[in-house]
Amino acid sequence: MAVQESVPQMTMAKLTGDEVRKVATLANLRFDDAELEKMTGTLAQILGHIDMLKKLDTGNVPPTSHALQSENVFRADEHTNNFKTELTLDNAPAKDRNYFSVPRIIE
Amino acid sequence: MADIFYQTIRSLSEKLGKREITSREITEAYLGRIEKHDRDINSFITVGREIALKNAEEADKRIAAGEKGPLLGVPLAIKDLINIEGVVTTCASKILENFRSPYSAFVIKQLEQAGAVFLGKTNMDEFAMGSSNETSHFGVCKNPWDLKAVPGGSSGGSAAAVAAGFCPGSLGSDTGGSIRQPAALCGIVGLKPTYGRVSRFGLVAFASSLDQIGPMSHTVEDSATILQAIAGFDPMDSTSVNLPVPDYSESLNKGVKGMVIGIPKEYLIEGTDAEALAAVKGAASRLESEGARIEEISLPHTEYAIPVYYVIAPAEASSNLSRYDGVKYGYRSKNGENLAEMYINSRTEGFGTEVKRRIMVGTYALSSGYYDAYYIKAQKVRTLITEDFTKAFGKCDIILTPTTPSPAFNIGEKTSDPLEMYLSDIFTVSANLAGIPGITIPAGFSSKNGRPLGVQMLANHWGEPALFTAASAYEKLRDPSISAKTPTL
Repeated sequence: MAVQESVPQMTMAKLTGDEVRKVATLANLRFDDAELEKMTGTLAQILGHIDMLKKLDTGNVPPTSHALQSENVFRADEHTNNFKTELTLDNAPAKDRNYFSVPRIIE
Repeated sequence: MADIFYQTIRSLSEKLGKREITSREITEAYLGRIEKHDRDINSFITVGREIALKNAEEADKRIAAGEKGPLLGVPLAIKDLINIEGVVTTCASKILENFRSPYSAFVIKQLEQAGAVFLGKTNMDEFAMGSSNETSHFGVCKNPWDLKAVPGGSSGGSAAAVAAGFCPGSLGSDTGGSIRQPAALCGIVGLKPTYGRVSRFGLVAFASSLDQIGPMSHTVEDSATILQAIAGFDPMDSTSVNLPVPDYSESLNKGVKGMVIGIPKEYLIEGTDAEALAAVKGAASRLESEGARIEEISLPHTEYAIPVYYVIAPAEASSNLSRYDGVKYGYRSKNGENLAEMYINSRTEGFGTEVKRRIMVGTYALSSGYYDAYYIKAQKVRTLITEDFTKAFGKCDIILTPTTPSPAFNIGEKTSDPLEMYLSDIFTVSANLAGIPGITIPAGFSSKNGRPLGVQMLANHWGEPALFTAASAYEKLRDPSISAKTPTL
């Protein structure tokens, strides 16, 4: 007997702008009202297509995270990084001496 | 010099070996052609004239010292998500517009050792997310066969550059078909190796369990030559597999006698261009005439590959792309009072629409309450798709399919409907989900619009030798006018 999986009752008709706004917050993205409406529409369409996966009974199927069996890879805990600090900082949008500089965090 | 532009790597290498021409001369010629014609095609984001000439002079010195090698002095183009030390790697995104790579990818170091010359970095869909090269921040790349058509994507620039005679070979990356689909639409050979065959170290990550770097070229032999140079174990990529790399040249021209070629009935679907299907049938009968056996096989979960892919790839992407926050590198917004605002504004201003869409799908699929229903569900169906292939390869050595459902579509034709765009990868995504290798070989031209068509061959894990055997056999058996034709620029 296949284990019944919990499938939330989320279908394309039910995806709301508020939910999309919540996902945007999780993703550190912002959409204005027009963009949000459009994004909600396309996400609903894409998720609607993905919903066809529900047709399949996968109760006893193990998930695949990697196509090939992968083993944990270990190495000695030794310093191997030869990057010079200056080289790493070359791409910094803002820096102060040997540090990345960001807007004030503490008032 | 004009006659060098459509020569194979093999032929250029022979001329270099015989000292008929220098690497500098070849490199200058390609750079000249790029300068003259790439305004129309837009296949390069960065042309690295100085680096290319430096590489070429170095190669000429090595040749003069008596060194030989199939890539020594041969110019190649590199997709702009593979790091070359000191060169800008944009991923065709505003967010990485000014990112200068502090180190070179494993594949670049391998190619340097082989003496290849880097002409520049090629156009692509932003962060490799797209099937048409239309999501590039640097503008659409056009198909050299027809400037109204897309080159395919995401490795559109790498495919168009070879097709346009700007270089004899290039590197692309393939997450759901991003080497094979543009190669087919541009009439060239494109190979996605077995997952783990080529190191991803220095490849900007899109979907880490699917991404694989591979060669794009005029011929199957050249494809094998590039793979030979870039394949191999790399401790810097934890998913790189430590298996010996076979001599791929040995698998070329072995003939297909006794080989079993499977044709999956689920791939001969309605909606696929009649000529794309005819190309598969034509390839099958030609291979059969040389002693291969053709079998109908079944990959019953084929229709689920696109929905599985569009959960797993965006989920992995949403995690991988969280690093772009404007702190250590990349675009930083000038708007925002505090750190949290800076993150949001940098990402909102820096990413394009398609990248945001995928981040949103992925974040949704991984979010609390939906993780099991979408992400785990997709991973389970991924298992079923992989098992389909395991069963199929119990019955056949090679699977033969169309590479794409149609020849290249028009620029703008599918941009308003993302789902329609996603479905153009229907024949290629399964190989990434199962981690198996796949190659596309030019198979003709559409009688409707003259645009190229390809056929795809898939093999079991580590089956690149079988792919090269079957693909090189087909290359010889097909209508010779296919390889003789070049686009008019």
